[in-house]
Amino acid sequence: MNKIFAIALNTYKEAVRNKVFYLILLFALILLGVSLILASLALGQDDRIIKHIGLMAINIFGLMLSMFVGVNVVYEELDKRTIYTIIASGVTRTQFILGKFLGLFITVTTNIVIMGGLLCLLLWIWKDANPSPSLIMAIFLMLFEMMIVTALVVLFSSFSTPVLSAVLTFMCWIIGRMSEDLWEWSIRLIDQGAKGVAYLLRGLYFFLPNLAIYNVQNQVVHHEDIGSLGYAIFIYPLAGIVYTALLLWIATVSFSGRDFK
Amino acid sequence: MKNKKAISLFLVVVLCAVFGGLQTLILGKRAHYRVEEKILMLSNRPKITRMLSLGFEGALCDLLWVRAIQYFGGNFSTLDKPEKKPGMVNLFRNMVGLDPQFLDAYKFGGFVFNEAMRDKNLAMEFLLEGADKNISNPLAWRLRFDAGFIAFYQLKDFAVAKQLFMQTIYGDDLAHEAQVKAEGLQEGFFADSIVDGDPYSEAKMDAPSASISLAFKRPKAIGRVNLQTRSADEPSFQLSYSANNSAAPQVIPSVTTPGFSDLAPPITLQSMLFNPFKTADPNGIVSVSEIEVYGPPNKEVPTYVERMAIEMDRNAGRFRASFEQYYRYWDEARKKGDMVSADLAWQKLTAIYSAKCIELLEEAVKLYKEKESVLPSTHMHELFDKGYIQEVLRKKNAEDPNFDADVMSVLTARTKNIGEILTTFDLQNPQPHILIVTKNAEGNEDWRIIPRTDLMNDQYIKLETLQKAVNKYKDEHGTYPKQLSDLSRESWFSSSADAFEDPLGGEFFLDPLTGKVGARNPKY
Repeated sequence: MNKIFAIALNTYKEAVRNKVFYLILLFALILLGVSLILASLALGQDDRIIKHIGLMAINIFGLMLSMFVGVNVVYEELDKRTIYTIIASGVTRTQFILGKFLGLFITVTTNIVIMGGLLCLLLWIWKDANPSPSLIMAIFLMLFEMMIVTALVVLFSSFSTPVLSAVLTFMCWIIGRMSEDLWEWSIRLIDQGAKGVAYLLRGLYFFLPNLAIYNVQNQVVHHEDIGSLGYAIFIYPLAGIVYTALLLWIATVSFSGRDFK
Repeated sequence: MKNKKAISLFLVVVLCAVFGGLQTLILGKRAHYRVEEKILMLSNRPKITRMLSLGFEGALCDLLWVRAIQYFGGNFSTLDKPEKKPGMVNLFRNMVGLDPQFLDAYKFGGFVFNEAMRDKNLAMEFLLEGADKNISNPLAWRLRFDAGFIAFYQLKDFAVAKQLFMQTIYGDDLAHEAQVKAEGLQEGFFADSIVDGDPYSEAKMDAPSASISLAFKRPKAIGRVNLQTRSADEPSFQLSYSANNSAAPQVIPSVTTPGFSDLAPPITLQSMLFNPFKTADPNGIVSVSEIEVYGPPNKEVPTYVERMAIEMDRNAGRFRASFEQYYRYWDEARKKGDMVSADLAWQKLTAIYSAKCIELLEEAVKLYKEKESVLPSTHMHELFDKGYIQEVLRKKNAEDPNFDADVMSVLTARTKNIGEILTTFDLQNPQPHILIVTKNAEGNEDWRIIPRTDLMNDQYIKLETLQKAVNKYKDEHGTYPKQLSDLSRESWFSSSADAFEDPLGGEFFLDPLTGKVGARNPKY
């Protein structure tokens, strides 16, 4: 376990030293600033605009961070041959993958917490707007979406190149966000008689993560009930943890069979 | 080296200049493009837009909202042009497709479609779509209300407006979706007419066997029941309900007579039964024109909405309906201790009552003048004594078979002496309606009938104004004026020429010792 934490800490430190981290943070902050300009043009819709744009900024830049930093964490160790030293020091491949994932996830979490905190501060300062408990919940749930995305990055990095990993992760994120539409398409296709494609889509629906379940942005803005607190704190995260475990298991299996030469 | 740097700098400047020039050229060309082009590029299929938003529906919707505001601001006066309309409609359809709970988008869309595009029906349709999609949000009442306001103010469709105002408070009339059965129907009458939404279609039944039952598919929360009858002899009945199809009926003791009955707290039921009916009609016939069933009232809706709904009946000339509803409204407000609403309702009641009296009196005065060649006296007693009022009422009855039930039953509710009612009673106080005769600029006689209370109100306001002026005069001169006309010499006394004329035909006077202003010798 200590070895996993050691790799995680090292990954985190490397990521934080990476200029990409600060660049992404800067862009995210600029977008938060833009939300203020839009809010002032929106005739009384300040609250919803700051919340929507703010949550979108956190989500998109969280995704970018996990993609741009994540695709390199495994690749660089292989490219610079440092993987040999790590493996030689008694770290198993599974520990390596888990450590990399954990370090990356802590980096993304740091980013989300900083941006979420700034969003809450912005709402607190801005008149006619205020941070609601459901906003905190939305940011909390976003962490689990990012956890799955990070696991996807690590999975793809374990067997492919950085560019391909980034592309595959992005595609999975898009499909994950359109999960409900996949199901709707499949219903329509069944009505049209294209059962084969429909069942393929249904397979994708069940196999790929439904990232839309972690998106409660509209509910936050409309002050809607997002379910019981226990459900939001345990069941949603549990689904994310289970799927992440599945992805990491596949990643370790894939990485175990990888030839470093 | 220096040359290289100079050449590089020169190239940068030249390229910037060329780029700037080209850009200006392109912008010049683009100036002729239609401004709405950007809006027209929007998909007319909100579902696709929603899919492409990748879960950021809210943020995309907000961007469209800002775009809509900017576009509306720049194109307000030309949005009714056919080439601009589809783009704006798409913009709003996409907006609410992305966020169907965005109430302000529906509200603003309704306003733009109505005011700028001059498409009232589209505005109503859009507002009602928003109301239907947000039926569980009590704050969405405003959408249905706005649609009702368009029906009232612009389409002048008072029936639709009233229906929408009532739906704003109580939701849809649930009776439409109920299965209705009626026992004891007379030949030629049908049970469906009881829930068809038309209060002018009726079902006549034999009182002893009359019974009406309404059954819903699923249990409903009921907050208001309204049984209407067009008969002058209002029947009595008992309302019972069953919570579900297998439950035994339970009597609701408070609902026994026609008119609105509010169930507070609301009752959840699946079927309701109106029986047994009793009537004072010598033939034992019961007439039921309509049954309306509503859910509990939306507590977010302000009280003026109900007044507006009643006002629609008044606008549509439905005297009895508007009078009875205001009376009920007044009674409810009084019982709740809401005296502001009660006073407003009473003023409306008085105005409705008085307007109907004056309408009948005017016809009688015209008839009188035609036959007698003179006008009747101020209090118009001759109209009754010589049978002119009776003649007008006979004429009205001949023209409209429902006149007795719709008008006379209300006017004669307190006393059967119609002459007294029309000439001496204006509901609020036992003050008469009076005939005022004036001379116009050509020297001809003009006449009008007004409630005496109107003149008393005018007199009160004038006396109050004069009293204030007298007090101010005392403050400035140390003494009261000797007569009221002294006030007109004061520069601050700005009043019309008739400031010293008593509306009641008497004279205003001033006691120079006490400074008290009063009126004496009233003519009316």
